[in-house]
Amino acid sequence: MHTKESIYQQLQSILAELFEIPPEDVKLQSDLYDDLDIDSIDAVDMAIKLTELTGRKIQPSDFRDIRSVSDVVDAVYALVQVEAVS
Amino acid sequence: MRPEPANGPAPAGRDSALRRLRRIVTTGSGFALFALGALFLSLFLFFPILLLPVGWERKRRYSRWTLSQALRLYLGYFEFSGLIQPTRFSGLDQLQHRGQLIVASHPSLIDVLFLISMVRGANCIVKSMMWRNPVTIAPVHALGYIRNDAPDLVDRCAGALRGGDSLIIFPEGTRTRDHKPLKFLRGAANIALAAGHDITPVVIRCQPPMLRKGKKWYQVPNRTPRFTIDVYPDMAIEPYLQGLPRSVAARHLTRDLEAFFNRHYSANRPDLKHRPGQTPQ
Repeated sequence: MHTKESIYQQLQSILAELFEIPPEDVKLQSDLYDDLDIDSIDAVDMAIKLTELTGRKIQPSDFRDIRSVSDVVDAVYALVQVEAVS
Repeated sequence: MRPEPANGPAPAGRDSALRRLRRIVTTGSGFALFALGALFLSLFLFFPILLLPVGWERKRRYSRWTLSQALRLYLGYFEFSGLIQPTRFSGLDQLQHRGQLIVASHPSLIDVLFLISMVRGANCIVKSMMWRNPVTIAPVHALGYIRNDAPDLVDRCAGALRGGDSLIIFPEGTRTRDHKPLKFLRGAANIALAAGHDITPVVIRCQPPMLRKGKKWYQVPNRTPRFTIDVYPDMAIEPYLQGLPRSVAARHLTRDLEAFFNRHYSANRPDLKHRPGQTPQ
């Protein structure tokens, strides 16, 4: 089962693997674009990776209003919850 | 505009007030000429080309060739009218192939004009608003340029390179700022990696700076600016294609490109001492 904590940890390892961001630099309040230097191309890669890990289809468009790490965690959590309920 | 002393000689190394005034007039007339030229070419060249009963491939070829010739004339006027000093080039022979990925610094509004005038079959990424402006809509269609808001921008650029276009990219995504290290976005690196294509670095400098970001067109520099355009040997993409995730490779390549440009951008400044016969290393 996916908890927010496990999603957060998975996200940290994804950011390390794909973008060479040290996990200790990734805080919940970190801004993806300003603090972690992620661009729109990276966001697509990240969406693909999260899809693989969670087994839930995540569209880059789900990330449209997302700025911070906690936004990503919340969005992914909401998606897996919806799937689990239905 | 800062007021100049009304009489007496101008300080050493600066143009007199009169010469500056002349350059303001030339700059203004240059813009007017550009606008008129764009309108003229749009109506009497690009629009008719679009109507020609030939394939897109040919339309593009005609359009791009004509545009380079027009820009050659236009830049000639800039030099002739004393707006800029004769441009210094090096390594131009490395810009003569088809299908090059040209990555350049962007100190001034007009350096893209140099590149388009020199590069055969040049393709560019341009602002999407040019597809809505009535003057530019025909040219961007006829030239087959790539819109910057395309969702598959990287793939389109890689496709253009594979199809034999040369692609001009300013990897900073905006104009180069003075007194600050160049900072690259990763789009250029991602395109190079997606296409598996070597990069031709072109270091463009302008001393003193003119038509830069955040300045009004009439804020002309104290001296007549000179452009320096140095084309360097291709940077091989191969070492970056060795097993790393593309997102990581793009970071490494961007870092290396940035370091390369910063090294060469600040070196051999034409406003410092120019050593003839020496190509920058």
